[in-house]
Parts: sequence; structure tokens; C-alpha cells
Amino acid sequence: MRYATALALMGTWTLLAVSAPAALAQTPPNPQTPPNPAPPASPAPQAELPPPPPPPPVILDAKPEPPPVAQQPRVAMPLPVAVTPVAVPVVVPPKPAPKPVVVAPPAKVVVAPANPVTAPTAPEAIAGVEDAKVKDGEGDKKKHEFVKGELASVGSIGLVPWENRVGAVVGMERIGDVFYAAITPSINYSTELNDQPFSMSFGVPLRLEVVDTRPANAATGDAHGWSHAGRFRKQDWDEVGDFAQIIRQIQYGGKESHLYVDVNAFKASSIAHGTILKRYNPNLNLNSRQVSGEVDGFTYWVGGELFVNNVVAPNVIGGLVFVKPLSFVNRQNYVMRSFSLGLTAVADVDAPLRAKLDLADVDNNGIRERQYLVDQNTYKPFYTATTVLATGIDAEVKLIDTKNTDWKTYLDYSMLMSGLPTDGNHPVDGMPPTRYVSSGGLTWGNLIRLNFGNDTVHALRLRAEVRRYDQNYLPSYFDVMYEVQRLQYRIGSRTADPNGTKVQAILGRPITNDGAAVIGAYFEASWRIAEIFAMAVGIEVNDTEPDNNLFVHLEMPEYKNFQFLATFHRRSATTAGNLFGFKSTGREIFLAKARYRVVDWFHINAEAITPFGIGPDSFFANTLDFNINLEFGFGYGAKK
Amino acid sequence: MKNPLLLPLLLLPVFLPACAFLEAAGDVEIPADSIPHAQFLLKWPDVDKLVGGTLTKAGSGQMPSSFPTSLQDGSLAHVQGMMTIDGECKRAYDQPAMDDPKLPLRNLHVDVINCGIVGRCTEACKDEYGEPFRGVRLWARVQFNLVSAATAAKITETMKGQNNPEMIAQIRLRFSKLAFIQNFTDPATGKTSVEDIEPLFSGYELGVGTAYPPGDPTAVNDDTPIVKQRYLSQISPETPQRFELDPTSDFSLKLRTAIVTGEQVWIAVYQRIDVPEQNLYGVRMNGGGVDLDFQPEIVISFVKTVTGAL
Repeated sequence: MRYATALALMGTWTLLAVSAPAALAQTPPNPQTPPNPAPPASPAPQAELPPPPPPPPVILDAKPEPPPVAQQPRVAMPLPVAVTPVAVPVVVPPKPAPKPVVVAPPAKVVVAPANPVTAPTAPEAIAGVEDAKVKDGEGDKKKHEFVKGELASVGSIGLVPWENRVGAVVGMERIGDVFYAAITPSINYSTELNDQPFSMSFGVPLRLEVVDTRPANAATGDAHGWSHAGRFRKQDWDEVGDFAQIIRQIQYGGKESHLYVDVNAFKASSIAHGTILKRYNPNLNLNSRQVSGEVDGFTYWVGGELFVNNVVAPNVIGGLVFVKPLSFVNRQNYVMRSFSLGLTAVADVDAPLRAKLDLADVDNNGIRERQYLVDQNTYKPFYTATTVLATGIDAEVKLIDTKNTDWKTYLDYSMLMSGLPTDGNHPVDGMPPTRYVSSGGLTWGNLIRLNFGNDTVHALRLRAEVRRYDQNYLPSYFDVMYEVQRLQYRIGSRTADPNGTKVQAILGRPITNDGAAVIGAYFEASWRIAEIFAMAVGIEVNDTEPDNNLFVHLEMPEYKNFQFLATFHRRSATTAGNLFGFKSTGREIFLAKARYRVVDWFHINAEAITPFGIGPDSFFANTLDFNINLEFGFGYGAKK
Repeated sequence: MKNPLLLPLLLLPVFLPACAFLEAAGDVEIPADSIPHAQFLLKWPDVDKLVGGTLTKAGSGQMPSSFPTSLQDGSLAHVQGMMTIDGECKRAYDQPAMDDPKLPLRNLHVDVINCGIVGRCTEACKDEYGEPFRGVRLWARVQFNLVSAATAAKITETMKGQNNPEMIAQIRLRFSKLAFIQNFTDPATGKTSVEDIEPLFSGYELGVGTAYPPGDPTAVNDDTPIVKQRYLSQISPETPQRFELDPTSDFSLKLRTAIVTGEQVWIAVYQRIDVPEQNLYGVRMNGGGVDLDFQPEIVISFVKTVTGAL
């Protein structure tokens, strides 16, 4: 059991206070189908438009915030409480901590179902939510917001508290073979800017070495061990880019607003329908930390997304542009206004082509060809890089759009391109000669969203895809584990294969069976009951390749003083049947996080996780780690 | 403090790190002075002994007129030529005991493989990439006493009586010297010096395997490479280099099992070099050999030792 981990990179996020507006901005709608108000010139409101502004809802709390400003034209978020825009809901949340104010919007309501107290995954930023609307409940007794978007925080690597707080998190971290005492002073602030939510959260990780478990290095004379106990880790702050790590989140607007900016250090991201980049988390390699950036902007007719995995030195860059051509003809008909055509491109301009091995035994442990060559300060592996490019075109249209049901269908064709080494059994040093290789795949998908209930809304979300693709293609190539599998695709084999990079493993696959196409399927279901409970399951299988995936997610956004989040991924199983076995493949991700409020000024965070990182064996592997962080601080101010 | 959980929760992170440090710093190396340092010159066999006293099996009458009567001063080119005359792919030499009985070595076996006959010996003459090799390949295999009786006692003491092979986290050799040498006599001055012949060969490999008795019909090839040619230039007394035994190999499991029994252990150490045709004239067997200086190291996992006792 390892207690100390690098997970302060995740767990210590718990000091962050992401306010209601901030969490609201995490709502992941579909950018290809922007909100659906009537055209400005139209005098008659569309049937889907919300009713006139309701009286302000009242939120009771043990420590209530200052009275909400009901007139604020903001988009509401289902933060710790459920709010309806028409009836005057009075909900008493169980948590005694200060609550963000939830304000019913005067014109349109979009309920972001993602857990506001957990870091959001935003996969449905790609494809799911489009039309902001309020729908009548059955019998018109009550009305509720139509809940759509991501219902659970699958892919989240941290819990985020809800208050404006300032303080510090104290804990232990492990980076590679070195253990550190970590202190992270943190602060967050949330407000509004031009009637849009705007939140910022910052932290300054400071690490002091405790023990270096590497063997003494005769070449350098460094005894390691406890010899440098108390030494400040200067590598954290010796480059300009290091200073980006103080950013945990800067977020403006919401995915459903016309401008959305998100600079984030913990979330997973998707682009378009996720057929190329889906739930990609740049921070799954816990020996490194990246601050990703996303900018969305759209009108009723055109729009786009831009994503970079690192705002300082990006290597994964993606974008989407789309047009809704029939919106120019008729925006009253939901079929015509929802029809869109999109073009997506994602590239890794620093994709590992061939890993370098520790042939010089820089860590002096005698292991050379079984481990990667790793920078002994940063624990980042060395490799020969190339560029991987994926492009795709897609079309989507809504088939059903009723007050409790949405059904959209989409068709997507994507391609994967790069160069593969041609030096065969005689590998050369440096950049090998390469040949161009490409592959492609077709996806037909359906997304169905259902809402049930009035007082307590049950939201159900189903996604089903059928795929037909080349044997050397992989749907959602930039996926949840891309950050570690890009160098070592078959994680779990516990061997360092220099040619085992993802680009070689996928594009370089031997074509068998006369090149017969792979037939695959993807199914995902999410269920959420207000802020009480959320869960999601997903499965991805095919009939040929060893790339079958599964995830299960459970979430308790808030129960009294307790928050809980757990996600299990099994990736790249050789067969669909292996997804359900008890034997580990070594490619599992398990994240269980809990946050307990002991007293106002003191929270304790507990984690049980299987982080991936370059460890003592100098290849990527996951280990079961337990981590405890102490969070000291206090709330301040009142969110506007 | 009103909350009774507050104090224990505050103290929790103070105690939990012990688990991590226990594992992280839990590997213990058997002290170097407990495992004898190995330093010796493994000489090539006398070339005339290798060929059995006659230069060719057919007798001297079959030799070309200019062929020397002894190969004492001959090169590998001469050895290959002799073997080619006889149409041989391989000649073997065995030496059950070392000249120096103090050396922890026994059962030296040398193969000289002739990779110069087109269309023959193809299976034995492939390079590390599986492609044909032309020249002479030298194989030397000797049994080495890795764990003496005294060392075995020290290991048993360190392992606190446990005998779980998984407690041995790593077995490795730390080389301070690993050089192929031969005597060189300057024809002008007549002075003899030692020269390193590494530039003259390729495909070097040093590995280990089970030390079967000679001629054992149950012998199974479990040779596991440890050192390859690319590392030779890194090894020097000033820059000693560690090489681990692949823990995933079959031999590794056998060896770890043998070590924890508390008895002395012999292993086979093999070396191979490929001398390409163009360099055969530059390599002489007599007076040459392998100069070795290494320290075996055994790392015991303290955590596994402790947990194994539970």
C-alpha cells in the first residue's frame, strides 16, 4: 500500500471552491446545436422557450448566502439543490456549508446535470445538449428543466468543493520514486462578468523532499535516501511553463452560452461526437500536470470548438467547426434547425513513435532493456516523436423532440493518419525512416435523453453507436487513457517495448482476414436523481481487435458533510468477455474519492486510486494507492 | 474540539506514510562482502588442444603446402580455413577444471563455429536479427559458483528464515571490467602488450543459464542474456555497470528458488562473439581471453520478507 502519491495533483483540488456559476459553466451541451431561442426578429416565442421569469426561488440553508438576486439573467445550475423555474421550490439541502445561490433565469433555462461539486467531464459538450428549454411535467402540474448533458462526472479526477474558500491542503505526494511533503496554498473566487458566470481557482503546489527511494548513484555520487530530506523541489518552478500550474480553473460562460472559455487542470474533454477525442484527460499521467484550454463559440447557424491539452506547450490540439445550413431556411422546425454538418480535426504533434530505453542505466538499478529512459527529475520518458492526425466529418439531426424526450441521430466518418517506421529489425537511432499510413471508420450513433418525475427529476441518458472501421483504426483514438497509452499502449504487460507506442500499436496492426472491416458497438447509459445520486455505465466492444472497454461510475454529489465519487474503467481488454472477469488486465483505472467536512475550517480528503505513472520500474503501470490530505481553510465573501 | 473525529483524523496522515516508506525503502541488498567478488581471466583454450593435436582430421598430408604446422601463432582465419578443409561446422573443447583451482569456475566448454561454408551451418550462423552471419562464432560456457556456502548462510540470515522466492527482488551483476583481450607482439620492438579486440567482433552476448552436468540428457536451454555488445564500452573500473537478470525469465525463477534453499548455487555463464570474415586475421586465440571483474548482487524485498511471515 502506498500512502503518499502524486495525487495531491488531484486530491488536493478539494480545496478549490468552484461556485455555482463555475459549476454551471461546466454544463456540457452540444455545440453543434446551440440554444434554441426564437430568432431575434420573431415576435412569437417558440414552443420550447421557457415561460416568463418565475419568482425567485428561495434556497434555505443552514448558512444561507445573502439573498439571491432573482433578476440576474443567468442560467441556473442544479447545484446542491434542485430548482424549478416556475414553482417556487424550497429545498433544504443537508449540507451545512454555505451554498451557492441558484437563480432561475428569466428567459431560458438549461439545467446542467453534471455534478457541480465534481470536476466535470464534458463529453456531451460534443454532441449532446443543444436546445435550452423548459418542458412541462406530465399533467402540467409542475414544470421542470429538461435535464440533459452529461449526467455523471465520468473522467473526473477530483472533487471540487462548492464554497469560495482560501486555505491550504497538506499531504504527501510521490513523484516517481521520490516522496514529498506537499503544501498547496489555494484560493478561488467566483463572480459574474457580463451576465455570465466567471470563476477562477488557483493553487501553488510547494513540495519538500522527504525520501528518495532510488539506489545510490555511484556515477553522480548521490546517495539518495534521506540525504535530501527537506529540500525544496526546484524542478517545479524552474521553467516559465511551470507557472501555469498555479491555474486550476479559469472559466467563463457555459457550454450552452455563445462564448465559453475554460482553462482547467483536472477535467476530461471531448470534441464533436467523441469519435476522435472522447473523455481525454491530460492529467492521467500523475507524474506530470497539464493545464488544458478550451474555447467554444457559436451562433444559431455556425459554431466551433478549440481544445488544447496544455495552454503553455500544447501537443494535442483539436477543433470542430460546424454549420447548421437549414437554420437559414427555417428555425421553427426542430428537424431543420437541428440539422448540422461538422468537421473535426485533432492532432498530437508530439506523439511517441518509438520509446527510448534506459540502455545507459541512468537510475543505476541494472534494468536497461525492460524500462524506459526517463528524465530522473521530471519522470517524463524520452521518445522519438511524430505527428498523429485524425480528421472527421459528421452530420446530425434530431428525430424526436418532446417535452420529456430527445432523440438525435448522427453519422460520422473519421480518419487516422501518421507515419510508421520502416527500419524493421534493424532499428536506427534517432528518427527512423517512415511510411504514410491511414485508416478510417464509420459511426452511426443515437442519443436519447429522457426525463421523468416532477419534484424529483430522474434523468436518463442513452447513447448507442454502431461502428464499422479498418483493423488499424481505433474509434476515439484520443481517449481517457491516451496520455499514458500514447507511449506504452499495452500497459499491464510490464515490459518496455520501444515499438509499443499507440501509433504503432494501432496504425501498425497487421491486417488479417483479407482486411475485413471491424464491426463494433458502443453503449452508454447514465441515470441521475437530482443531486442525490448519479451513475453511469458504458461498454465498447468489437468483433476483432483487443480494444474492448468498460466503465462504471457512481456518484453521491453531496450527503450531509460527505461527498463521494467512484469510477472504474477497464481498457483495452482483449475480448468482450474479459471485460467482466476478475483478473486484472493492468489497464484499469479506479478512482474513489471522498471528502468529509469535520468542522468548517477542516476537511479531510481520502482517496483510493490506481494512478498511472512512471514508477520505480520505469514504465507506465498502475498501482493501488491510498492518499489522505488535510484541508484547512475558510470560506469568504458571498458569491455574486 | 467538539468533534471526536477531529484529532484522529488530523493524526492519520502522520501514521499512514509509514506504509509507503516501508515498501518504497524496503529493498535490502545482501552486503557485497557477503558475496565474493569475481575477478579472473577466462582464457581461450590452447588452439592446438582445440584442434586435437592435428591441424585437420584428415592429417597433415591433406594440408596445403603453405599451411603452418601449428596454430599457436595462427589467427581465426587459419582456424576457419582448417575447419573448412574438413567441412566442419563446429569444433568443441572441454576443460572440466580450471588451471587455477581457487577460481569459482568449472566445466569450461568452448565451441568454435565455422560460418564460412556457404549453404551449410545456416541454423547456427544467424545474427541477432536472424539474418545470415559470415565468419567465426565463438561460444564459451563455464559454470560459476554464484552462491557459496558462506553466502547462502548470509542470505538465509537476511531473509529471516523465509524461503519465498519472490522475496528476491533482483539478481544482478555489477561489472567493473569485461574486456576481450589478446596479446599483441610488436614485430618491430618485439615487445608484447595486451590489446582490446572489441572493435573486431560483433554480436557479443553474456548470459546465464542452468548449470547442468556435462552430457546431462535432461538439460533444457534456459539461457538468459544479461550483457550485450552495446554495453561493453560503458564498462570500466571507473564506471562500473549493473545488469539485472530478467526476473520474468524461466531461469530467474529457478535461480531464486535455488537461492532461498540456503545452499550454494552454481550457474552457467556463457559468452558469445561473432568475428566477421574481414576481421578473422586480427583475432588470435592463444594468449587471448576475457578479462572479467564483477560483483554479484542479490536484493531482498524486505516487505515481502515481512509479509511472507504473516
